[in-house]
Amino acid sequence: MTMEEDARTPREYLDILRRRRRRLVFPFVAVLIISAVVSVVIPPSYRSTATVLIEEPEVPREFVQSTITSFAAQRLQVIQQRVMTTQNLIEIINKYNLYPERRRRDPISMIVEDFRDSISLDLVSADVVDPRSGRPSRATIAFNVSFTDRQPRVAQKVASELVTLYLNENARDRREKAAEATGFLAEEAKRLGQLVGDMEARLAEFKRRNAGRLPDQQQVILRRIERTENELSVIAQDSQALQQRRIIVQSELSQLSPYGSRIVDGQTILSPEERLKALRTKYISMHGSYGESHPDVVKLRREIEVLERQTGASTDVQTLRRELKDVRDRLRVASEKYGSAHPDVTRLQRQVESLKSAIAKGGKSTRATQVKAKPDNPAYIMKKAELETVMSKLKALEPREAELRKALKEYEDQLERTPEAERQFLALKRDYENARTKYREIKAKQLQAQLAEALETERKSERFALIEPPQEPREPVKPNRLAILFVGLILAGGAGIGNAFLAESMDPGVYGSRQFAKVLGTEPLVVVPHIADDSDEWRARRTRVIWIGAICVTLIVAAAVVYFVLGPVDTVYFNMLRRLGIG
Amino acid sequence: MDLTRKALEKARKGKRAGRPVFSLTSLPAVDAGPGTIEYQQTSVVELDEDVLRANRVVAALRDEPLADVYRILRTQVLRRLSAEGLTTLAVCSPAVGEGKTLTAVNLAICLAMDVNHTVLLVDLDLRQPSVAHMLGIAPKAGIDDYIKETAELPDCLVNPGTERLVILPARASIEKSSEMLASPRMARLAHELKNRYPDRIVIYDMPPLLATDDCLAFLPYVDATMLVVAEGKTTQSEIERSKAILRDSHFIGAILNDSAEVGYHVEYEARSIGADRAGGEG
Repeated sequence: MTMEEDARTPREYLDILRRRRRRLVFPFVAVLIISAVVSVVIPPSYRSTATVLIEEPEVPREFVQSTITSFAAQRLQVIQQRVMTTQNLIEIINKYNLYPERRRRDPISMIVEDFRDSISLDLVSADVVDPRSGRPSRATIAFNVSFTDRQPRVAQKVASELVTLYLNENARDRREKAAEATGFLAEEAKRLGQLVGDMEARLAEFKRRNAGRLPDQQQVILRRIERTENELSVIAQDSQALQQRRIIVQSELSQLSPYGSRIVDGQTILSPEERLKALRTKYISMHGSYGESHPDVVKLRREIEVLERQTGASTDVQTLRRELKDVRDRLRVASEKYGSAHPDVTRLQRQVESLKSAIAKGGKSTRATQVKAKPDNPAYIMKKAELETVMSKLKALEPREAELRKALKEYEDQLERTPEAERQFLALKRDYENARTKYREIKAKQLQAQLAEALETERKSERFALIEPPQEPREPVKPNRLAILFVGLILAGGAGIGNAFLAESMDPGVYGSRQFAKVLGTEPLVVVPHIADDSDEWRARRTRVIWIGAICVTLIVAAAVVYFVLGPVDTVYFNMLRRLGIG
Repeated sequence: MDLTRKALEKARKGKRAGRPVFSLTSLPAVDAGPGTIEYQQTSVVELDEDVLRANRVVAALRDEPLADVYRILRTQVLRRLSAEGLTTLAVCSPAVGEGKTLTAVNLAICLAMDVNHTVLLVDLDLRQPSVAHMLGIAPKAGIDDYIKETAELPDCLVNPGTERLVILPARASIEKSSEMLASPRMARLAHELKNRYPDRIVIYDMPPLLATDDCLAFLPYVDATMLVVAEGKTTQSEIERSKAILRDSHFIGAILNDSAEVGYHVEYEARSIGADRAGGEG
């Protein structure tokens, strides 16, 4: 015969259960009774729930950014802390007269704790897509506030009170926060504004003290330098042009006689210069012809001197020299033609001599005898005027040029001194720029905060909306009697079976041939069953009697308990039916 | 099983009316062959069926299906004994109340019913002898008297109505039982009982193994041992210790007594009441 394996056969399990039936039955029944009693005895609790929806803001976030950035769930926790303070709860307890008997006995702190446990706050989440990141996430879209109490009406009233507290607290909280944000930003803006003003003043002061040495002025200076140099070059050009003009005008002027030929009665009257020229020519020829002491020659000489004094024109040495050259040429020609004894030749020789002496004399004395007569040739006058204009222009250019050069030098000096000032200036400027930027930013934010505050005041931002006010509950939420009974049944079964198997495992005895074989190492020769005898029957009878007695006693006791504790039987019966939900 | 029993009992009660005496001689006599034992001096006693029933001696009852169990045991025992040529068997149990005496008695009766064998049942539980009581016998002398040398062996033997079964009861309890059992007189008795009729099977109802050392003291004088274990009553440690004690003897097996395990014989009961069933479980 083979050894059986360790696993028990179903038959063995049945044997065990049969063997341990007492241990199976008693716990089963006991637990079942207890659970039945519990399910009936527990008083019902009613629960009233208010549902609040967390509404999206009416003005989209892109337009006005709220200053309240926390998630609804977070804020809800904070609001819960604020609402469910011991103080608030005590007020509610007093207002609705909750737990009247307990208030006499227990300390208020304990009652508040129990009260708090009867209040529940549940969040309702949904899967949403985060508009900023585009990723799916969970967001809280609503929450439930509920209160559980023995009386349905009280549950409703208190739930209503609580949800009102929540709503008010939320609105107040939001307004306060928005106002705080605005206030803070206003303060900051003011401070920064002052700072910016200070910096501007300092900057101006610096500029003033370091005029010309500052970088932006550097540009100015460079431009000025450029302009100055341009002007200088213009002046140089002008000067050159004017010089050229002067030469031209001078040469033109030298060609003009100061004394214009006057036409009187149809006769051209020579200008004194022209007369002088003519007389001189005549003198030379007469001097050549007649000699120096001839009365006509002397008379002519005196006339010429008078004219010379009149015109003031000196015996032009150049003219004389030209004339000398002229005469010498004629002399040569004549001497070649006629020879030296010819009277023309002699005449010309004497002219040459007089010219030479005139030339010699001319350099010394002519200036002293100058008597200026007013020139009256309009052309001459105009030309002279023109020349004078040119000269004066030229003259005028000089001081200007000197001025410009001086200025240029100054500018270049200034340029040299700019780097140091520039550094300081840049530093100041940078600070100033920063302060200004910050100020601008704060100002922008302040504006936003003001908008957000307005949003809160107008209740256009995200807000709590009561979509389901608390109702008076009809059905109790607790206890779930059927569930208790069911659980009790399972527990009873477990207890019974567990007890049975516990007893089995604790029993050192040998049961069944399988266990026998395990212990002895061999199958039994035979398994002898229980042989009943009279004592067995007597024992069975006794057991039956005990059972009946026990049941009767239990019924009597139960009835007594029911009567004394719960009231008359029929009332209890109807109560029970009601509680179980029937009738 | 109780219901079946009740039904059968009712039927039997009907049959029993008018039969005051139970006798093993109701079985057909068979030609015994040479070496038949003749008990000239052995007293013959008639057993009362009601007493037997009350004491659960089912093997002696007619139409008792439970007797089949002991017949199975008989066959097992015979097989094991004859395989080794053994003739003396000690029926032991760890403690009291396991049904050792009942087993010994039932087994002896069943063996006696087998025409091939003769049986001697000896009550060696000297402190609490129960064989006589179980069979409803009031012996005039018992083995205790023999050991105390106040009686002769033939005076102690009892024949319950068939020549194939003889009983050597104990009349009263002895205090110093282990010394008695170890005495030379006892040893001589054991030797004589075994060897007088070589084919005779001797069944010894032993004292509890663990309570005293009586059993242990006598073990050398028996060929084989058998253990009786009561379901739920005998603990595993008792079994272990018993095994240890019986280790040196020729242990032929053990029986599980008073078991709630439903055996195959119950199914068979309805079909063949009183028929022998050869072979054991398995």
